[in-house]
Formats: sequence, structure tokens, C-alpha cells
Amino acid sequence: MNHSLLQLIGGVVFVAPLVTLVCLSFLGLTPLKGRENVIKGVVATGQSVSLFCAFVVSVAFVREYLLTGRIIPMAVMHHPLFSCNHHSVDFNLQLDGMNVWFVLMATVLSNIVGVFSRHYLHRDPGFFRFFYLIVLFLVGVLIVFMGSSFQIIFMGWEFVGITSALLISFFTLRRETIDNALHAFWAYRISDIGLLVGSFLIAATLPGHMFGELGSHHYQLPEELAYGIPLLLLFSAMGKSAQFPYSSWLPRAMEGPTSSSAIFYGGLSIHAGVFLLLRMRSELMVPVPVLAVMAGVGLVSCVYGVLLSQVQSDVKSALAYASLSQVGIMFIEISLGWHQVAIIHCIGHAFLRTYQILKCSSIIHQFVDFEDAHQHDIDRAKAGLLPLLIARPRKGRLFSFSFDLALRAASGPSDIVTTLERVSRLLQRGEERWLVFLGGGFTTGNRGKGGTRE
Amino acid sequence: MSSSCIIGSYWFLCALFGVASLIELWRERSRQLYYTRGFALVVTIVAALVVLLLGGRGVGSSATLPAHDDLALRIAPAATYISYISFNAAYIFSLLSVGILIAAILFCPTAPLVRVRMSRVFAMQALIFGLIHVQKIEWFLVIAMFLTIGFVLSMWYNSKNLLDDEQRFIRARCFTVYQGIALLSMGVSLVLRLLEQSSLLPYSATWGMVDVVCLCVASAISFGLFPFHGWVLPFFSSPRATVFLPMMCIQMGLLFFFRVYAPIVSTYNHHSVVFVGIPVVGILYAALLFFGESRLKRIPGNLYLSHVCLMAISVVGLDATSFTSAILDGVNTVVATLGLLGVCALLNSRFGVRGVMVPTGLGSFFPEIAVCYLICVLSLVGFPGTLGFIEEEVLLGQAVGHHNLLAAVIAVALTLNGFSSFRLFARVFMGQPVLGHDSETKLLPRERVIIYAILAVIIVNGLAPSHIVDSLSHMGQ
Repeated sequence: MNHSLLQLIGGVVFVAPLVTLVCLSFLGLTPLKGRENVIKGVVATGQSVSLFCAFVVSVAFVREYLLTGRIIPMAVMHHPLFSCNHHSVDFNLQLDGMNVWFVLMATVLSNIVGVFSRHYLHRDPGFFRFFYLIVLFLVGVLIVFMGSSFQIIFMGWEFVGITSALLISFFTLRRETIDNALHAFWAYRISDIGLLVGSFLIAATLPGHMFGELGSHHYQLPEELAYGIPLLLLFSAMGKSAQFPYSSWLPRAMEGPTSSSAIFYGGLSIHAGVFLLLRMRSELMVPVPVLAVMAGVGLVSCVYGVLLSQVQSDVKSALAYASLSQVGIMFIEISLGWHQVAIIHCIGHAFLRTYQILKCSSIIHQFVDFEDAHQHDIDRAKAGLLPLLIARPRKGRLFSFSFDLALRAASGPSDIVTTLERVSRLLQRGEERWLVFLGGGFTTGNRGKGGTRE
Repeated sequence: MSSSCIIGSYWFLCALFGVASLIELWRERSRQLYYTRGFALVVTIVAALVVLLLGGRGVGSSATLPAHDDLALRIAPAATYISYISFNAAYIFSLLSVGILIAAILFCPTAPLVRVRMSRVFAMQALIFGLIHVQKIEWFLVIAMFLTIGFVLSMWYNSKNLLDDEQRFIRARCFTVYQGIALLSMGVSLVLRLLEQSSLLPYSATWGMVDVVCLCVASAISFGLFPFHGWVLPFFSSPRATVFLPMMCIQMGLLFFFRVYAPIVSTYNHHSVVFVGIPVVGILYAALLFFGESRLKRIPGNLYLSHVCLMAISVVGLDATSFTSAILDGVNTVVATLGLLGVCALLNSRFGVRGVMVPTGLGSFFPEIAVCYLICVLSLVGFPGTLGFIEEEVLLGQAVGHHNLLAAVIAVALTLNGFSSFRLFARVFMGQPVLGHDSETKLLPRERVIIYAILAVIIVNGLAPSHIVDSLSHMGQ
């Protein structure tokens, strides 16, 4: 196929959801936003076009690989954002031997979830909002996967974070959903620091750097940043992939609609961290101690996920912890340099987990007599290898240990939030006292009780 | 078009708002208040046309407005702490100025609009146009002193009949103390300069240093730099404060920043540790202060405090990129803060002043306001696709070049601000609606127009930023 035509098709993979997003934005200003058929039509068209183009590109890449034995990265979009004196930022997207599979996965899963949600959210007041956020998420995740530098990845990274938080709190009438959305958003924001600073350091160290052919070269970072940058990127990947100690947000994130949980925490968002590490490993020389840390994080998360998934009392949380342990294994694979294994594992896991989470609501219907999925897990475990490997008393101790861990996980980073809030209140009190001092020494006794009125 | 003609256009704008102020004063006396909004809009639209048609002629050139003040060079360095403003800078500030005024007029509900007395607003706007293009620092200080007195009087006027409420009285007193110190500093600087010019006081390094310190203090108070920020939060969250007064205060602060503070920083670059250290502490302090915030009306003030520190950090880079970054930050802060103040004003006019400890579910009633709030705060925390992201890119790129730790501090502060903003968003717009809703609380078309315009400015400039960045780069150079 003609190279420029292929570039055009590759560009449409991203442009189609972007145009869908623009169309939805305009629809949102009109009464048509209440018409489900219109929304469904617009979203389905955008997603299908994107999927078709991704499929065509992946077929062309397979053909190229079979003919030449390699896949050369293909720039599909180049948009100079701005240039300020000596500092310039370009919005470049590319497709290469690694990300094309992730892009294909993203478009397929978004189509599946789109079709599922049309029925699942039928007549829901938030129908338009849901699809708007899903398309926004697709745009963000495609920027992450197709971005040609870490700075571009960061742009998509932020979109994924905010859409995730907004979808967790989709059922806004419940207080718990809001608290859980905040919990997840907190973990996202903290971990974003790593990618934000890391991407700028990389841009300063390797000006004009763009991702190259998979495994063709590894940039050597300056000595003072050789550990810092990979650790920052690892920190960011840990947050996005809910690795230990960030794991507590993942089961809470399941508060959103089932279909969004499937695409975010079964399919795409949870694997964004894996993708970032794959990019890092294929581009930068990562020191062995950092790889050891990566493997350690993966191992701890894997064990942690397995233990906690055993004591969850609902299906979605159990699946969330199971995802966490699988992603932990992917971290180990990447640290060992098994990139292809990690990619295959990641894609296979994404499809399986999406299927399982989408099936959750039906499972509950099927097991009407015992909705507590934990009971089902125990029954299944009895029939498996676990009783043979672990003696009954140890199993009991392991269970109570896991239960303790689960209780601690329930109050994860919120402790930090509480501490920061305390510090903030202290500072606010100081400000108010200073204000009172300047204002003539009056007391501030009439401040609203409980902060409900100023 | 000759530069004198462009200068003439600024004098015309000053005169236009001066005359409008007098007319409005007369209308106020005769109690003919019915057409206040219409009259204000007509005057402002005329000003906007003048800015667009005449002021825009000089855009693209890096030439400065003609310097009338060769005296500044004779008594250097004490008198040179005012940058010659370029055509582009004057144009952008003027556009922002008229844009803010139009937005404020349309945001303002009818009854408070009558109360805010447009005559005062017009007079202050005339002075702000004076500040934009005046070349002599002595005149700059005189105009700034008049404006400061205007702000203090407005604050007291807004607190009139409310003095039984201690909180409001304290706010007014606090504001007066801060602005009093600024006035004193400006006065000392002005007197020193006049004495030097009349040869009564020979120039000496000591007096020069006193002058610099006075100007620094006056600037820091004007734009609310840490630790001179005490007036900002009470002033922004004052119950009677509409969009007008805080936005005018921000405009004056920005003009002080770019015309006085930035040149001082670039002259005294050997003290860059101080000039970086104070804003770095300030940005973390502001982020922590915001973290536990539960009052809706304090959101714009808190985010403004952070951005002032970011701007102060930016200018220490002492190159064209630094100034571009600072100006970009200024523009973003003005537009996004305007949106946030508008949101607060709209909610305030409908539901009164409320804290946000529990979710109030306003998003289901006002989806447009929810979107406006979200995009404005996202822009202020540097979210991709908004004007704030471009500012963050330039700023962090420059900070990484300066010191890696600086980039980390900025990233941490933006992260904390992002979380705090989202949490307040969740508390205000999500949850079970706790307030009643009737047709009277619906958004009016004029309010909707302004919300869409603000969103368009933020998003269009965020997605296609090359035009604004190029334009601001000229200013930086």
C-alpha cells in the first residue's frame, strides 16, 4: 500500500474519535443531546471508522514485517503546537511495531464497550455524558499509545486521569461514588508528577527526541539523571496501573458504570502504566537497580493482589485485585526484558478482563441465591489446587492476614489527604488570626458551623 | 499608522471612560438607573472597537511605544524600573481589559449592578488604560495611587451598612492596612524621585536601594505576592464584591508586575536566590492553603495566589522565554479567574454564599456552569487542551533549564491545586441536590454567552496556541 495513504489512514485512527468528540460537543449545546439514537449513531460511526483504520494499518504492518523482517515507525500526524524562542512543542503521533497492537486493542475494546453501553445505559439520564466521556477517554488513550514522545504521552495521560475520575463519579447522587472518585483522582495526580517532571527532563536532556524503532537504540541518560528519570517514570506507571502501594484506588474505582469499569480497569487505563514502561525500556538505558525496583514492585503487587482478591466480597473488587496481580507480573516481565511476552500478556489480559467485568452484572443475575461472590470464590478454591498446596490452618491464617490487609487498604492514601488537610486548616487558622490582628483584634466567632455557611 | 495615533487612541479610551463616569454619576444622582447595563455595554463596546481597530495596527512589530522620558536615563538606575511596553503588550492588556469589563457587565445581576455604581468602575477603567500606556514612572505611581485609593474606598463602600458584621469589617480593615502600606511605599518612591529630579536630593546608592525596596513592596502588595498576600483571599471572597472589583485589582497587579517588578528582578539578578526563594515558598504555601478549602468564593483567590508565585518564578529566568511564560501565565490567570469569579457570582446571586463541605448537586441544574468551572480550574492547573497547559509547558521547560528541583516544586504545587480544585468541583456540582430549583434560577442568555466565550478563549488558545505564543514572544523579546 502507498506509504502516504497508509499515513493518512493511520491519522484517521486518531482523527475519527476527535471529530466525534467535536460533534458531541456541538450536540451538547442543542436539545439533540437527549436523543439516544443520534448520540449512538455519532459515537458508533467514529469508533467504527477508527477501528477499521487501525485494522488496515495493523494488516499493512504485518505484511511489511513478513516482507522485510522489520517495521519502521510511521509518523501519522505532525502539528507544531508552538515555538517560543528556543523552546518548541510539536504534537506528533506515530505508529510503530509496538503501539499499533495497543491502538488496535483500544479501538476494538472501545467498540465493544460502546455497543454494550448502548443497551446498558438505555434511558439513563447520563447517557450523553457517559458517551462523551468515553470518546474523550478514547482520544486520551490514543494520544498515550500513539504519542511520539513522553511529553505527548503526558497529554493523553491527563485525559485518561480526568475521564476516569468523572466516570467513577458517574452516578453522582451517591456520596460514595464521589469519595471514591476523589480517592482515585488523588492517586492519579500524585503519580502524574513523575511523568510530568520526567518528560520535561527527557525533553531537556534529549531535545527533539522521538520514539524510534523498537529495540533499535537505547539513549544513555546523563549520569546525574540516569536513575532519576527512570524512577520518575516508574513512579508514574505504578500510580496509573494501581501497583503497590497505590492499589487501594482500583477496587474503589469500580463504583462507576460496569462498562466504563471494563474499559478502564480491565482493558486500557490499567495497562497504560505497562505501556509507559515498555516505551521507557525500548528507548532509554535503564540501570539494573531501577529494573530490580520495578521487578520488586511487580512482585509485591502480584502477591498483594492475589491475597486481597481472596477476601473481596463483590465480584468487581475481586476482579480489580486480580488485574492488579496480572499487571504486577507484566512489570516483572518488562524488568526482565521480555517485551514481546509483556505485550502479548497485556493484550490477552485486557480482552479477558474486559469480558469478565462486562459479564459481572449478568453473573450477579445468574447467582441470585448467593450474590456474595466471595462464597463462590471459596467454593471454587476448594475445588482447585489451593487446598493441596496450603494446609487448612495456614490457609486460615493467610485469610485473616489478607483480611487485615484489605482493611488497611480501605484507608490508603486518604491518610495523606487527611494530614495535608490538617496542615491546611492550620495555615488557614493562622491566616484568619493575622486577618483579625490587622482588622483590629475582633474575634471571629460568627464563622458558619461546620463550614456549611460562610 | 503612526505610533502617535495609537497613543492617541489610548488617550481617547481614557477620556471615553472618564466622560462615561461623569455621565453615570449624573444618572446616579438623578436616579435614572434603568438603562445602566445598556449604557455600560455601549461604552465598553466602543472601547473594544477602538482597541481592535487602532490598537491592533501595531501588533506584530517588536517596536516599543515612543519613550518620552529621557529623564529616566539621567537618574539611573533608580528611575528606570519601568519597562517600555510594546505595542503587542499594550494591545493584549487593552483587549483583556475591555473583555473583562464586558464579561463583568453581563455577569452582573441587575440589582447589584445598580449598587456597584458604574461611575466608579468607569473611572477606574480610565485609570487602568492610563497605566497601560503611561511611560513616566512618576505618572505610573500617581495613577496607581489613585487606583489604590479607589479600591479602598470601594471596599469600604461595599461594606457600608454591613459594619455590624465583624467579618466584613475585619476584611475591609485588613484590605485598608495592606493597601495603605502599598500607598506609603509608592509615596516614598515618588517623593524620592521628585526630590532627585529637582536636585534637592543628590542620587546615592542608599536612596536608590530605599527606592527599589519601596517599589518591590508596592508591587508585591499590588499583585498579592507571598508574604504580602493577606488581602487577596478576603477581598476576592468579600460578600459584596462582584466580578468588577477583583478583576480590576488583578489588572492593576499585573501591570505593576510587568512594568515595575519584572524590570527590578532583571536588574538585580544577583539576588535571584531571594527572587526565586520567596515565590517557591509562596507557591507551596498557597497550594497547602487551598488544600483544606471549603468555601466556594475562595477558589479564585487561592488559585490566583499560586499563579502569582508562578509568574514571579518565571521572570527570574531573565530571558525572553521567561517573560513570555510570565505573560502567558498572566493572560491565562486573568481569563480563567474571570470564569471562576463569574461562576461564583452566578451561584451567589441565586443561592447566596455557601460553603461546600457536603456535595450540593448543582451540576444537574447548571451543566454549563459545571463545565465552565471545570475547564477554568483545569486551565489553572495546566491541563492539556487548555491555555494553562501551554503556559505550564513553557514554564516547566524553562524551570528544568534553571534547576530540576524547581520543576519538581512547580509540579507538586500544580498537583495539589489540581486535586483541591477537583474536590471542590465534586462537592459543588455532584451529589444529591440539596437546593430547590425553579425557573428563576435558570441561566440567562447573556450569562450563557459569556460562559461560552470564556471557554472558547481557553480551549481555542489551548489547542492552537501558536498565534498567542508568537504574539507574546514578541513582547518577551
